[in-house]
Amino acid sequence: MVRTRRPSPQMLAVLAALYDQAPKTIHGYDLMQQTGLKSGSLYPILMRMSDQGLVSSQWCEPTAPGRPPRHAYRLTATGLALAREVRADPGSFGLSGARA
Amino acid sequence: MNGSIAGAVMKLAMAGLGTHRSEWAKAMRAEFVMASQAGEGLSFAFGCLVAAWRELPTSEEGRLALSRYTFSLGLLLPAAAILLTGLWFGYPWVEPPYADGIASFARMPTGQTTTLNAGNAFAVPWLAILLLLRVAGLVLVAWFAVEAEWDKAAAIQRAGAAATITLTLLAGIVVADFTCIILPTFALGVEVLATVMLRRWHEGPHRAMA
Repeated sequence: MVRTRRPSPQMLAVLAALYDQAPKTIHGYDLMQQTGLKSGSLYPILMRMSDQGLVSSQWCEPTAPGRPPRHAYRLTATGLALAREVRADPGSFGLSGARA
Repeated sequence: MNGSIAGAVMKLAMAGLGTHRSEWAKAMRAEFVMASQAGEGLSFAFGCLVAAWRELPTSEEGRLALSRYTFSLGLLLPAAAILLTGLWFGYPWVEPPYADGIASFARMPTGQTTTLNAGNAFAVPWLAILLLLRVAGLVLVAWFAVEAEWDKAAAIQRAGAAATITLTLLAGIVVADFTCIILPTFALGVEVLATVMLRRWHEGPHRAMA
């Protein structure tokens, strides 16, 4: 799906966190801690990004017995391209700093 | 205590996401375990509930779920609250201050004696228990409606109807004032009618899922 709207500051924060982590994956709770977003903001953003083909997800085996498998996220090629675009020209995305 | 509230909120959030976002619901559930271990389970669960509600209007299934939440939170729980408030203020076995208002609205004679004498005061606790059962039944129907468990909701409603009929008979015999059963009967009628309509809408031929 083609992106039609300018990403929100929260989505740019998620994009930056995933880009910093690439090519490794990151779990939802860790992403919350890195971005400072609450679950009520993070998950709708991740769903949108997944629908737009910016984020892919995979299930990871539990690291300890009795724990459920966890969902891990990483940027797709499209997501990486967007993250590089934001980092190269943050001003056009409404960011004042050099970091997306 | 916080853990059980968080668990219930999380369950509500997962039910709200439905099959359309079932993978995301499982993902949230797994992270909820991590958040709970970090002592942030309740805020995480409420966040997931907000996320689930934000997702509702974006899909057909979500819109159906939204109708179930609206029905439960907008109709059933307020009806339960009204009955409970009435119960708290002495309804229906002592002369409630609003009885004449209800009777006037229903075009019934007002000013009838509803005060109990010593002979029929024995019925008071049973009337109270019946009305409490109706309130509990409404809360259960609200829960089952959110989860689209229509058969369970209907079973509870049948019990609610039986309780209301018993309440009517007791009110007629003991209190001799039918104004006190107008509210529970009206609540039951609206509740049953709305549930049937909602169920038909959910299980219509063009719907793939309940």
